[in-house]
Amino acid sequence: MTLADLDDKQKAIIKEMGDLGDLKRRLMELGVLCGEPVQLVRRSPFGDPLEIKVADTYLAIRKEDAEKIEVEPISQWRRRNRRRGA
Amino acid sequence: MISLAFVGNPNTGKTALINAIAGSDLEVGNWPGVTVEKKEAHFVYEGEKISLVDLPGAYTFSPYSIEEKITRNTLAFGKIDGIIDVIDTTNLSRNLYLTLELIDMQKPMVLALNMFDDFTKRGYRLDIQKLEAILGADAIPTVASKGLGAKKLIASAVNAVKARKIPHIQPYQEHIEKEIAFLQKKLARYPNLPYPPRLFSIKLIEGDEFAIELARKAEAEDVIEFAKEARGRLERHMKLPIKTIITRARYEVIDHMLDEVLTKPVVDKVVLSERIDNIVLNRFAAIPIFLVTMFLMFKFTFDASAPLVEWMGDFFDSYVGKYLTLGMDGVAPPWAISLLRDGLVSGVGLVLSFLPLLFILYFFMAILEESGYMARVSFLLDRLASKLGIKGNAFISLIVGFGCNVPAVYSTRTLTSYRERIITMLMIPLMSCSARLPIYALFTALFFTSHQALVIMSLYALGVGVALLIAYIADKILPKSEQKPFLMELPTYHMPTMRAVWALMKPKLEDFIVRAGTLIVAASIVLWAIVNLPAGSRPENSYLATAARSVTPIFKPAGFGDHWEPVAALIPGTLAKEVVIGSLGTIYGVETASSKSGSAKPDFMSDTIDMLRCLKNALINSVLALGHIRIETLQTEREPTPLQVKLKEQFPSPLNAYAYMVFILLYIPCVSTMAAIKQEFGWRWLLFEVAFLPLLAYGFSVAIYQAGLFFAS
Repeated sequence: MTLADLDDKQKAIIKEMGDLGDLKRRLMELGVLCGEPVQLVRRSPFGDPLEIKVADTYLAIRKEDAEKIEVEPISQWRRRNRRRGA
Repeated sequence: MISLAFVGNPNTGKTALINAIAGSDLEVGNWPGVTVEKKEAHFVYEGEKISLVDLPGAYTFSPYSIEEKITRNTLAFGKIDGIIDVIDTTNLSRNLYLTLELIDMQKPMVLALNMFDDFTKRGYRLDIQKLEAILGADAIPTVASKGLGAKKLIASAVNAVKARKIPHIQPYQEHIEKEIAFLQKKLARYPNLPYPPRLFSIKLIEGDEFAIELARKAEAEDVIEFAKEARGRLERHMKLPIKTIITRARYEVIDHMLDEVLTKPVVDKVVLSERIDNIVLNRFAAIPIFLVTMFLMFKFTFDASAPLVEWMGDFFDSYVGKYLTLGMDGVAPPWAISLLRDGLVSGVGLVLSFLPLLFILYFFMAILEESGYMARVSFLLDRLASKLGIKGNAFISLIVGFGCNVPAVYSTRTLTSYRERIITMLMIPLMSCSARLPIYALFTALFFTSHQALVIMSLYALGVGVALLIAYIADKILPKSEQKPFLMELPTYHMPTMRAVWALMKPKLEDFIVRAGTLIVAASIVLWAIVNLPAGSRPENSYLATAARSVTPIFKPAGFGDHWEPVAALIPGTLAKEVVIGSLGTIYGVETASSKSGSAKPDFMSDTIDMLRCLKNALINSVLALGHIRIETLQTEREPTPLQVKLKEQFPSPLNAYAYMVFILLYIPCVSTMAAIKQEFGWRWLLFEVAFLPLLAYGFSVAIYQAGLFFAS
């Protein structure tokens, strides 16, 4: 599942950052790192770009870029971790 | 002299902070070699000369835009004695990322913990003393918008420089530090490197192109090789790409630090900003809200400034001009009086009469910018922009262009690629700037009495439409270049304070008065000369008239080629659009009000009182206009001015007038804009615009006039 597939307001954990070119570095510098929680805040009225929230930072990125960021929704992530803990 | 650089992420309130410290002493210049605005302030603090440098906002030392590049280069090469790192305290972790890079420069440094009031309001607590102990640098809570903490910040910064107080290095994991130490040792053999050794080492390990380039210039090829080896070792060891390793390492340091000093509230309440965005960026409401905001901004600007603009014009024509003539009568030759009154005073009057309009427009724009709404506009319109090969933030430049094209051209430097800058620059002159408004106002009041606002709006819309079309074509034609992907921060909303708004407005207003002002005054004098020369000629056989007459027939298909006067006015109009009206007046030989009222017995006292009374009325009307209870101006009841009578004669129908306005809208905006384009994009683009815009204007005015004729018949 990618960041672009999340519902509005849904939270997830970043799993993998794909080939984003220069953007990848900048996103990482702004705190978009694997293992960090991320929230899809909203989509622009035209469906693109997307507003995401990482820590206290709100960022706008385009859908095509968000599609390259693999995430796992928090609910699933919790379930799996609970299983692992049991 | 001590020079202090203000560095920080965008939207941290840096400029407001400098303004709070330096007051009105901020000077705007250009960075050497590039034309990005350089803001500097000089003052004396306890007998020491201080120079404050306001660097453009940057997130890190690895630039993503020209502005960030400037900041990095100034820090690397500039003569900076100390750093004031301005931090948005409500977003510590991200802001500290830049702080860590600045610490690696190993220069005297202090932290400004800005927006500290918001930070505490949200329930956060910070152990400042502990933070200072960890960083080895003073951390001063500030609230730039209220000017709090500014004095202490300067005292602390000066002290840090004098005492050479270097911040503590924040070490990464051991194996990274080992590689840094290894490289630093290798670098020690090259003494004259611009970057400080620790930062240089890290950047070389990161594979930063700028650092590698610097090393190559210093002929430190071996160090580049060593850095490559170090990078390889780290990547093999951590099984991650180097960029990930370093960014992670930095965030680990930050997280560790924040664990020590930061106490978060138990429940993080939903920030007000998020709730505002739930409405402002709502899927259905967002676009209507944007359009209404823009409409109201321009409407208020237009309505509220009208009485003041009118007063200013009157003041210069029938007060300054009149008493100047009276005072100089018999002292100076008539031609000198004429030059002074019709050339100089009317030029100055033109500039200043324009000031209320720009003041109000800049005021609203500064509020939108300062509050954080402009970034939302980019977010809303990025989809549309993506179809034109640009990004949402280009629309900010376009909106600025409605105020004045000149700052709009400069503002393109915040865009990430040259190609985007070109496309945006091509669109900007078609944004109907406020200088074109008085012309529309004059013509629509005369020819479209009942639908004035609608007609003016249609011109704005036409400009935008043509701009979109040109961008679309340009995107198809211009060679594709490597693009930096769209990325933008949506800063939290702030209640704009008057101080911050003024800080944004002031340089723009000054810029207008100085740059546009000198130009318009010079233009008025040149105009006076070409209208009055050869000596003793009347306007209709002046140089201007002769030149205009020869080209006038070309404009027949556009509906204004029957009389040379409107065409002649277009020539000085390229100097500045607002000159067109004045030129029409001069060309028609319609004398200013001073000659009309000249017959009445001049009474300086009563005239002065009259002027002041009118100013009071104008101010009241202007405020009433904001509350929308505008008392209709006398325009319709008043008997038409000689200029209006002349125009009525020469434009047979509203269609002719409309075609003329379309031409005004689309042809060369003004020399200032052209100068800005030349500065930013070079001669080739300047020449292109000079040739292209008049053709475009001609094409559209002909098309509209002919279509109008066709449908009318």
